[in-house]
Formats: sequence, structure tokens, C-alpha cells
Amino acid sequence: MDKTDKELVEEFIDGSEIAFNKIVRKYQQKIYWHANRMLGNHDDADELTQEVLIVLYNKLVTFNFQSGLYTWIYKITSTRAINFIRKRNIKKFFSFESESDIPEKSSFDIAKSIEDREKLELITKMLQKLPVRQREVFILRNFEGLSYNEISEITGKSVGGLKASYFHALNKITELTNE
Amino acid sequence: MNNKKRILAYISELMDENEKLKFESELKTSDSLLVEYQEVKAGLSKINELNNIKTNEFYFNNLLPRMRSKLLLGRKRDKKFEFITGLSFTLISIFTLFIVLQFNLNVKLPDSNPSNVDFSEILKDVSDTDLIKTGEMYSYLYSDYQMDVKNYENLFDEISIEDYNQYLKFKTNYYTGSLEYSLSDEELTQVYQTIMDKKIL
Repeated sequence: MDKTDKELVEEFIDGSEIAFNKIVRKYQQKIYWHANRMLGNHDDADELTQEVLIVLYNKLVTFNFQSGLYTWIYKITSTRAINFIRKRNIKKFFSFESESDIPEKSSFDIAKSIEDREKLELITKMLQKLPVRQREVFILRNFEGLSYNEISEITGKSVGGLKASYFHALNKITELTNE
Repeated sequence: MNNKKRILAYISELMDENEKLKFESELKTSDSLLVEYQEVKAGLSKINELNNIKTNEFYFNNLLPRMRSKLLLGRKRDKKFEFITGLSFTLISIFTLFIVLQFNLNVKLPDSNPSNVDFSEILKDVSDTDLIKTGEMYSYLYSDYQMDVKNYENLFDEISIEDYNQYLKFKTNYYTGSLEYSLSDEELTQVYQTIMDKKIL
């Protein structure tokens, strides 16, 4: 029988590295895909995923189960993704390179087939057209299937504000699909 | 609000309970609204379908070992940083201690032992005339606190630089306490007697 998050965290705190590996295997895809959708490319998503896993390793001892482990992990991922985007924008602003000089294509193909790659490119293009906060809500609500309360816990925004952001995100996404 | 906006508000749960009930009943009666609603829903399903991507398993199999090596590298870097910080702190502390000790060794504090004060040293370069002049000056300046600024300025117009230096010497010795506080009663009596003999005050 699979162990619960609480059991795994307790085992990890007691010194079990295997327990940490299990936690990583359980959540690594969620972390990566959230990062990928937020950042729009594999290289940045990979960097962020590793960063989040290291934070998880260092901070898991402080986790007190007042919220779900997945909510906590999403919170770390989401916050760091937004910080990453901010830093990237600042870097771009001060860079002498034009936008086209910055490589958008990743060195590694995360999609298994050509069809999947095309799907990924399409969804990435759409998501990157959304403002960061709307993108975050859209991803968490639409792709991760989280409730507004859970998203509120992750983002620290009010449920009303999140609903409004999701409404605007939906409006833009439906416009983009009609183009 | 057009139909599309209403549909999106419904999906986003932005509607209040009344609006929601009204919309749902309208959805049952209005074919055009139902068609539009289904179109929006189909569009969103398409987007969700785009999200189903089969991923390259190699990446996820390799993620944990890469994270572990990065963690190890980070720890080594942290240890290096701690060592450099510690070393810098130690060096700064040693340097500060050295400066403080150097300062303490070089600077001799005033001797507070009255028996070591040589009164004759203080007055050795002062001639009788100078002492009288200085005494007069001192008396003039400090015996009367109400002295106005104009008189004070006039005094310095009238005296020579030598006189003024003498005055400063006397004044400094007096105010640093070297005359009053560091002398024994006998010495003070001697000073008083000297001054009285010279009819300074």
C-alpha cells in the first residue's frame, strides 16, 4: 500500500532519503509541468523544477501539515515561477540582444512524439499571451483542476479576485482559439 | 452583457446565486444560448486535450539524480562560502584587535596621580610679567560672566599674540583640571600663594 504524504514526510524527517525520493517521484511531473506552462520553455522549467526540489529537501522539516503537501509544493513552485519570470523580464529589458537573439527553443524535447510537440507548442503560445497572474489561475484551475479555495491558498489572492482573473483568462483563451 | 461574457461568467463562477439560476433556466429554454455555451465548452475541452502530452520518461528518470548532484554541489559551495566568511571575520577581528591594542599602547592617558604633577613644569616658561598679565586677563574674562561680547572682542584687539598664547596655556591647564584637581592641598596653597605674591588676582 502506498504511504501517505504525512508518513513520507515523517520518514524523511527521521532521516530516510528513500522517503524523499518517493515524494519527488510523486510530485515531480506536477512541479515540472506547472513550471513549463508558466515559463513557456523546457530549459527554464527544468532549472525551476530542480530549484523547487532543492527547496523541498531543505524546507520539508518545517512543513507542519496545516495545508496539503501538494498545495505547499504548488505554492513554492508558483511563487518561484513568478519570481523567475520577473527576473527574466528584467534581464531581457537590460539585455542588448534583441528578442529574436534569445533562444526560445529548448535543447531537450520533453514531448515524446511530433504530435505532442505540436500540441505543446500551441498551448505554450496561448498561455504566454496571458498576463502572469491570469496564466497562473488558468493553469491551476483548468489543468490541475484545483478549487478556488485551494488556488487562493497557493497564490494568497482572494477567491473573488481569482474568479475575475479566471474570467479574463477564459475570455482571452477563447478569443485565441477562435483566431 | 453579451451571451459569451455571461457564459464565461457562469463558468468562472462569477455569477451570484440569482444570476446563476436565471442563466441555467435560460439555458434550458434558449437554443441559441445553449449552442453558444456548448461551443465555449468544446473550445475549453480542446485546450484541455492539448494539455495531454506524453512526456519523455528519460527526463523524469534522470531528474532526481541531477537534483541530488546539484544539492551536493550547493552544499560544497555553502561550506566554501562559510569558510571564506569565517576567515574574513577572523582576519577583520585580528586587525581590529591589533589597531585597538596599538592605539592603547601609543596613547598615554593623563596621569591622575596628584603626586606626579610637577607644578613648576607648568609655570616654568612663564615670566613674572606674563603671569601677571595672564592673571589679569583671566580675571577680566572669567570673574564677570556678564561681560558683553563687545568688551571681549576689544580685549583681544588690545593684547599681543604672545599674551593670548599665555592666556590659553593658563586657561587650558585650569580647565583640564591639571591645576585644580590634580594638586594636593599643599600644592594648591603654594599656587595660591605664588599668585597672591605676584598680585595677579
